[in-house]
Amino acid sequence: MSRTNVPSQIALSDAAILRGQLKHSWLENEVLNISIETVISLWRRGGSNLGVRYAARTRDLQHLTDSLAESFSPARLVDTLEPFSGLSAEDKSAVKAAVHAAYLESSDILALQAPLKVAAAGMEAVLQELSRAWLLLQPGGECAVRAAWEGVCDKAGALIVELERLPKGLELP
Amino acid sequence: MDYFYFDHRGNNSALPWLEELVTLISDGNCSLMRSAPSQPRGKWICFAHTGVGTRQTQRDFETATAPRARFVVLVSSHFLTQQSKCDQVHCLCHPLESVHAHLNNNPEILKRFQQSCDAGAPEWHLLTPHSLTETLVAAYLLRLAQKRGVQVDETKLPEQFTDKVSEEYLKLTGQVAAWPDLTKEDIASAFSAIR
Repeated sequence: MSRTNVPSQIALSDAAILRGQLKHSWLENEVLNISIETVISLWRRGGSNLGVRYAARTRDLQHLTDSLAESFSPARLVDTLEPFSGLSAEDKSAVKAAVHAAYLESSDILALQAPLKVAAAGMEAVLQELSRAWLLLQPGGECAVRAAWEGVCDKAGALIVELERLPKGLELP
Repeated sequence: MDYFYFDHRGNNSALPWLEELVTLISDGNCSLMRSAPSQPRGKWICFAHTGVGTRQTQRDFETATAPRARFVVLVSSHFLTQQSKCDQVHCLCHPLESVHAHLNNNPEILKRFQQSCDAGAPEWHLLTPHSLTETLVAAYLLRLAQKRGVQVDETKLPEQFTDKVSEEYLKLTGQVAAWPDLTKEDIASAFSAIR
């Protein structure tokens, strides 16, 4: 029996969920809402290197950036909507291509990609700096970690601006 | 029924929308639950944003709902893949702003939800904005592709596809429209409501 309602997962899309997790769970909760004193305290105790820990998030970010148009395209629905389940692979592929082309024409998704890449690269650079500073010892280490964390917060702010420009879900062409 | 809202961080950006939503649902009789979740006692429903990496908080809430008159709505897109197995725990994956707008714009649905809470059997589905049916989305995308020259074998579509499209569109909007005349404008507002 086919479902009546479009589940929220279809409307949100994996990319929209990832966008939300990067912006909210990582950049807001794990970066901007963490005080510099907490970071320094973690460094003094020999806690895990935040620059290294956040590398996984930058990989997620890279994945989102690289597949931006495909991830937010309603063409993805063709594979999941029940009424299309009986179509041949060729027919599905043709419908997907047409829907994706219409989406690219009607949206500014590709224009959002370049600034997001720049913001992501900026974040990656400051995280590498933080990662290096984390390995330094006192007395110079603390100043270096403070400076690097400031850079991370700056880039987090810039990245949030770009992530907020992304769609919150799939959009029809 | 007492209404609460909870956020795993007091300064989280989700907090203002949580407060707005629960204030609406409770007619202003709600309060912030400061620690999760042994307090308070009695019958309550709590909208809780527990965040990523706070599984213990989620478990605490699930344990606290053991008495039948306690309910928790876990608010986070993170729970899309971690649906709770507890009967009294509901996972709300929609943006709070959308849910608030949906209830605010539909007082009869809001009232029905409040009544169901008071009766001890919250109708969770009422929190969810109207969704487009799969049939309507499929019909729109198919028509879009056909307008671009794509030909598909329509015998492979579900039986009575055209009738279903009209029927579901009527159910959703109260208007009559027949596929393939369905336009983007016909369904855009409903589609955006579930984003």
